[in-house]
Amino acid sequence: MLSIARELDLQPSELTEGADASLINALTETAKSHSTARPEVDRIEEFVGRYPGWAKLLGELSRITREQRETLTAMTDQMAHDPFISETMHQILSNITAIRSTASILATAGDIPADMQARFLANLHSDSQRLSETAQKMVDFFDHDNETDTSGPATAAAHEFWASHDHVPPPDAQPALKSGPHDAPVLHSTLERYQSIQSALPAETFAGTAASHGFDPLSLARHYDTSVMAILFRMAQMPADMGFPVFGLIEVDMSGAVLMRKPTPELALPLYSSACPLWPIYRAFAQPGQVLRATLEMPSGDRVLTYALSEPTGAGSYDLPALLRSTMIFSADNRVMSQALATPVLAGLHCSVCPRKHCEARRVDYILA
Amino acid sequence: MHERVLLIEDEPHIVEALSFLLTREGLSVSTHSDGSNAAETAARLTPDLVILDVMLPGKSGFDILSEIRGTEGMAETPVLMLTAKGQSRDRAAAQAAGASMFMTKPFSNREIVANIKALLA
Repeated sequence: MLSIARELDLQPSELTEGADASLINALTETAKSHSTARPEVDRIEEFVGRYPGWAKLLGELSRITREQRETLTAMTDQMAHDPFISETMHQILSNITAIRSTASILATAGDIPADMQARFLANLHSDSQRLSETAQKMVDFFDHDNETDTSGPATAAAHEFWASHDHVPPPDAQPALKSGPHDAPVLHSTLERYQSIQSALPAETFAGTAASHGFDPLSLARHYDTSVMAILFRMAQMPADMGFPVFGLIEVDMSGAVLMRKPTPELALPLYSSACPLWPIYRAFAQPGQVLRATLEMPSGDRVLTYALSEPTGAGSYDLPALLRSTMIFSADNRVMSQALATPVLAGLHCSVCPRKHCEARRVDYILA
Repeated sequence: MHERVLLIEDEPHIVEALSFLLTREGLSVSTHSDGSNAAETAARLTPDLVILDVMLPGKSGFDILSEIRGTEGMAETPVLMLTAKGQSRDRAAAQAAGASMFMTKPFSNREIVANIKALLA
């Protein structure tokens, strides 16, 4: 075939009527992303024609590598934004700093007064004890906490998919289902919703309109004559390069299972369940259809403005209460925070990492108390 | 006259160790452990240098730094920020808020003393 192609002054792929076009494209992309190896990009078609088996193998290995990199990125993002891990790591590093500094003083300063020496030794003892307890709690967290959270596998694929696309997937993005059909419902329903909103409220025109309405969801819903829920998702799923205020998002069902999550630097989110019960997203279940606006203040002092809304998921059934889903978007952007309420809700991320001692919503002890 | 340092940090054993260390270096050290009124304390003491933890109860170190920068006579006061998170986001936020220097925990005594001396020079 190669000889014929040469004689006819054609590319080999032209003789196969483009049958290998997708493989050639994939290999071209791979070559571009590994340019240091200096692959002969201009001879890819010849490579595919001459060694079809090896070419397919290389394409397959490239695809696997890319998927694994995306999975790793999503997992790293989840680890970085898990409130328990973040708070615990902060505590561990603070403990280590105290131990290191104190031990260094004891080891290098020769003339420490006896009472100070005794005090530093006592500090070392209590710091090392706290460090050991925190480390044990972390081990317990990984050993037990996540085992009871059965919502994880069902939504993990959806979380990975959205995170890998920065919550704005291209039109042709297809989710990869890794764990079987049980992955599908959340992923497909959230993707269909996104595509519908993207079609009805194109990001390009929405950005300017939202700015002229002060990024107010109710005002925008009236302007577009659409649902507030559609506006909330549109605001949280805008392309990063448009200068639109960054909105985080969390969507939960009535059990509290996290169906969709987009954390921001200002507000970490739980992976699957168990956020702070004071968050408006949970209170919205008591007032379906009512948009709740609240300013949340975290124990660190960080503030975000939130909009939360719960709505029925379907037509419902006779004589049964509706099944609801609740959604909350939030932002710390100055353009949005100008609408923030003066009196904030003093909330946290999760009881076990929240130092607010007298919170009436507390259900477990502060891990570092 | 001793140069005055204000240490705003909520971890008591870090406060004790740094206070001891800096006092031996000839500095006069004041401490504050709560974020909510830290800027007021800084305004009252007008120290020569502020050491400021990022994560404090009541208010974040970034907000406190912004308030300090808005305080009369403290726009140029050196501020060394401490954090247990070394992400670039925190560094960028510290820089935007007007931090003079940023250090990630755990740091060595030698390193922090050297940085403090450099900021006071």
